[in-house]
Amino acid sequence: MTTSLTEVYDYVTSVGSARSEFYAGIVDAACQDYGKKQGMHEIDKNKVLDAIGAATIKQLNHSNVETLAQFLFLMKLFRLNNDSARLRRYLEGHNERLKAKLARLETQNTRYTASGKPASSLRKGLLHPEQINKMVDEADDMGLRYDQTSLGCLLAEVMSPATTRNLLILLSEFGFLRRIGNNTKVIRSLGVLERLYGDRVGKLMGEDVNSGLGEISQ
Amino acid sequence: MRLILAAIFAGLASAAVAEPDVEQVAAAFANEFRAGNLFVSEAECRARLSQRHATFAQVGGDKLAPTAFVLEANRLICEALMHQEAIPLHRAEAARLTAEAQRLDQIWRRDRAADPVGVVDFPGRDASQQQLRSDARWQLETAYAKGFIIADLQAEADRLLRLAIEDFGRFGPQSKRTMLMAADADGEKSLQEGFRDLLPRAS
Repeated sequence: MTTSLTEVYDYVTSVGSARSEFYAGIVDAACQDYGKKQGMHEIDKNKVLDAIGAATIKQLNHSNVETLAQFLFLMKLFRLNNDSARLRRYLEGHNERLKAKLARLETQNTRYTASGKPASSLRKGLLHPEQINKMVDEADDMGLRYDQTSLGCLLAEVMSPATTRNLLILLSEFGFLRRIGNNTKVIRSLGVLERLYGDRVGKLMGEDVNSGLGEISQ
Repeated sequence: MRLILAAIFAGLASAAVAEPDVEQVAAAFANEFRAGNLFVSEAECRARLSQRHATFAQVGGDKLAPTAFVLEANRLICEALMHQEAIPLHRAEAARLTAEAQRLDQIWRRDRAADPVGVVDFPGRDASQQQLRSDARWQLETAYAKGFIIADLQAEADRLLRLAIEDFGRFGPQSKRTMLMAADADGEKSLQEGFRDLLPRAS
């Protein structure tokens, strides 16, 4: 049986619309949060969008937001937020993956990945054993919280620590994350990003992924 | 779960990297801004603050974090200037009080020399002078303490100005260009692959 033109086209449009709905959800959630903080009883979206400003809305529509949402969704999907053994496996796997990548670059005698990321950036993404222990202990104790540096390491393959920091500031300004602390910034997701990303995945699969997130067969 | 992962892997490639180093720009901005305000009077500083506030408000920028940081830093610099301008006043007052105490001492010594029997010394004879000297010490200590307050206010203003420019940095054209250019699909794929090891092994 061959795939029909309509099926392929439908798939392409569903990918596009799932993505578009994801970003619309992000901007909508940001507007709601902004309106609430301004004490608005009813949110006038146009007014709020004007207040937030075009530059910030563009930032909220940036692909980095999607990357972080995807990462947080996967963390939740794999129950790493409160399963310390699995979390340790993942974090150690992260280091192994980066080390393998670095070793490959060394063998090939090149300082850059295929997509142009310098080896030094990858090296900065390696987690120290203390960082791993701290995250695992916290996951054991009260559920996973990320400190900004560790999250920067985990996302090092995709964005620089400075970009991660700016992204976290942006998202915490609009109620997607809690970013607290003076020296070490502790990040906790408030669940909106995971839900919106789950909606997106669910749309592609034709299933409600979010409601069954805890019961997905392992 | 494999289906969900497949759906994610099939998702669009994206993501980005990098940020221009805004540290230097931030430091230069903070220094310039602070130095520019340190050579004016408190009144002029407050006038600049209200003008700056009005300018930001006109474009709806007074509530944005970076501009709010600038306004607050400006306000702190005005406070520092207020304390700065008060220091010579405290010192002048201390000098006046000390001089007054000396004048009273001299009067007493002169009167005592003129009439050693009639003008007697007694406990509390120089209570006024002691009070004046104690007040003078307080004035000098206040002036000294204000030096620390000024340094703290300036340091906090500096920190806020650096924060402001770092926030502006993420709106800067260089920042946007770098972020948009640096799509790293390879990195994102690798990030996703990190979870594959956690999938249940096929029996």
